[in-house]
Amino acid sequence: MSSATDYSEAGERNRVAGQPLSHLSIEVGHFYMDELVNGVDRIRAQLRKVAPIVDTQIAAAEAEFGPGARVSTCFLVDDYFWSRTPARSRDARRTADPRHVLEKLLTAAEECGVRIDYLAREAGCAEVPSFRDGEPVGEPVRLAEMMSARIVAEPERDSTGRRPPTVESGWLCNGRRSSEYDAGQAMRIARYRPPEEFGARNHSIFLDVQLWSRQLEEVAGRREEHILWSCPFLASIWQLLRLGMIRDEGAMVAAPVPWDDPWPEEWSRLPAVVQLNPQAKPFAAYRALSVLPYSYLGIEHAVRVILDHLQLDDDVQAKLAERGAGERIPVEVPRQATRRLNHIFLGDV
Amino acid sequence: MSDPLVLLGEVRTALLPNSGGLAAREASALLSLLPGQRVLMRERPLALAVSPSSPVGVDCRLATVSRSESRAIGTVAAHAVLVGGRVLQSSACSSVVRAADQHRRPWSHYLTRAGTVELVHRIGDDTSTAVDLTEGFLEGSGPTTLDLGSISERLLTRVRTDPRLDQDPPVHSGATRLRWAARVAPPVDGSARGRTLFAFRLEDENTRSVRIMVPTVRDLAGAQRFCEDLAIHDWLLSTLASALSDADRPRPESDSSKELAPLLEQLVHLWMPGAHTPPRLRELWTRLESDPGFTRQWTAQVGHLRDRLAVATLEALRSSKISTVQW
Repeated sequence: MSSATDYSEAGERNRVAGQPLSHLSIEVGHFYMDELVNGVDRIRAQLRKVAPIVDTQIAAAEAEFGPGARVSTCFLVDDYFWSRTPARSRDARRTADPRHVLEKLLTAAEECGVRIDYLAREAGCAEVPSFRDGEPVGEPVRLAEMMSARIVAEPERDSTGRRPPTVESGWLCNGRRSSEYDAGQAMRIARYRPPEEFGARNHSIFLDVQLWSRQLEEVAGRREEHILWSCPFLASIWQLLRLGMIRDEGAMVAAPVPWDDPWPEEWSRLPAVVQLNPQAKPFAAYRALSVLPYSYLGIEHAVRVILDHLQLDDDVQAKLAERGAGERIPVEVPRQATRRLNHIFLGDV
Repeated sequence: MSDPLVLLGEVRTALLPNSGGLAAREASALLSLLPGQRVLMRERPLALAVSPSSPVGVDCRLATVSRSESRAIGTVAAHAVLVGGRVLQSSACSSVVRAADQHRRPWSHYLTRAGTVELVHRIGDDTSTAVDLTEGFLEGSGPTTLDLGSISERLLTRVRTDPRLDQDPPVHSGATRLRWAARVAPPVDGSARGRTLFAFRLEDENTRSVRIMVPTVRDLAGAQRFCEDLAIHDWLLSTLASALSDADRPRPESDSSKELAPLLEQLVHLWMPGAHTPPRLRELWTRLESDPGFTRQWTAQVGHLRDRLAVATLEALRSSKISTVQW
């Protein structure tokens, strides 16, 4: 008779939590805080355009994934730059109070017939607070810092690994910078070599994206340096949250928190993602669609460049693909996150 | 994705520059190179911590013997390993596959296959390409070809210079590098070979090269772990041998037992050939045990070490007795 021993240890494996998924997540808008604080007319005008798009998209999803298609909607509030960029007037700060802003926004959405299932804070893409009984507790997950460690610079031609890829601190580009940035170039007179997009077709569209800047802040009488994450970088994290691609040591990050209490006075007392509609389908989805004003085109281009340079977790991807394959009407989940992102940009007319 | 033609790798092994060994929690903190990603830990039979792997982008020639065009694009995956809380390794590896098309793809394409480079040029059929790349990598790498050495060296330096380490190791020792290439053996008469073929070679004082041919693609997955396991045992042998030969050199004013004792305390218990080798490759250890006889050499060295220390202790006792009498 043979005997077998099966020995294993829990620490050996990287367990990844599964996450419920919708078929489609629709971002119904994204406003700067000034727009939310100032008149509500612009917001209304946009939401009126968004309403029929949401309806058509839901119908299209049902046609594709059957009548049981799961679609959720979300909205991102920019509370990050509002609270971090220097001195706003006291008056402006008061009017940016979530109690005022959210009431205005949610009323406008209701009037325009746009349902908002989830509300997210942009600051929650930088640091995710943990919530217990409606109160933030403990250390937040430093999500932006975590994701910035996953950026893998794209090699130039003839990069053997001998030298580390040149990374301009806080910047990421989709190609090779012009000769002005070559080392020692200032001392030589050489022909100018223009920037070049990697893998360009005939001509380049070179994009250099700022991921963060450093900022001096006065904290308790001392000047401290802080990192100010850029809007495209936070937006790329936002898109990954919507695609269900982020885990912290295998655990889900920024899971939506249902909220019944009155709105707090400060944005930071809200979870990163708030569930407004108790019947909402899951927040994250196989496919994400953002319906945005045309002015966000640049930001979303930058988002795609950033996402193309992030090393995402293979185990999370595998879990997602498995879940997609198990759907009643199977969903094929591409490995590249950017292939799951869709956009509709709205003009003024 | 097509099956790998060949796996190329390099492992650097060195003592952790710290006065004490690290406990599991400290090891995990030291190796958490990617926040949010878990450090894989094992307790038995010997503590092992493996950092998450981080990719480095490359677009360059692969070394070949035939001097064929051999551009490859993709990433090299590198991770750090801490064995027994004491010995640090950095291990870089890339799996070479054929590219589906001749142009460079968007970067996200390569990031979804971290640790893979896609060979753009067609050098020959799979077997001759694999041989060409294996021999090229081990014998003919140059400044313009894929450089796993620099990648693993940078990672080793990054961990070694961590401010949490006190830079005061109890033993002075050098680092070794083990360069390896693994591929699937071509089938004989249409069926896979039953046995893994393997060649281990000491190139110079610090460099070793390893060639591995496994029966099936599935076995390739364990090659890197086996090479890391082999590298640490080879390093232990080299470190003990060099300490013993240093001690043999007559040097006045120095007490060789002071230098040898920490080896016994810190390193001897780490000797566990095959402890972390995947089961399917464990038979390679059986062969290393018969030729060159890894454990035989180790047992002899440890015996030698203990004898030297015993003699030194006796001498110390005798001289202390004499001095007591005279006093």
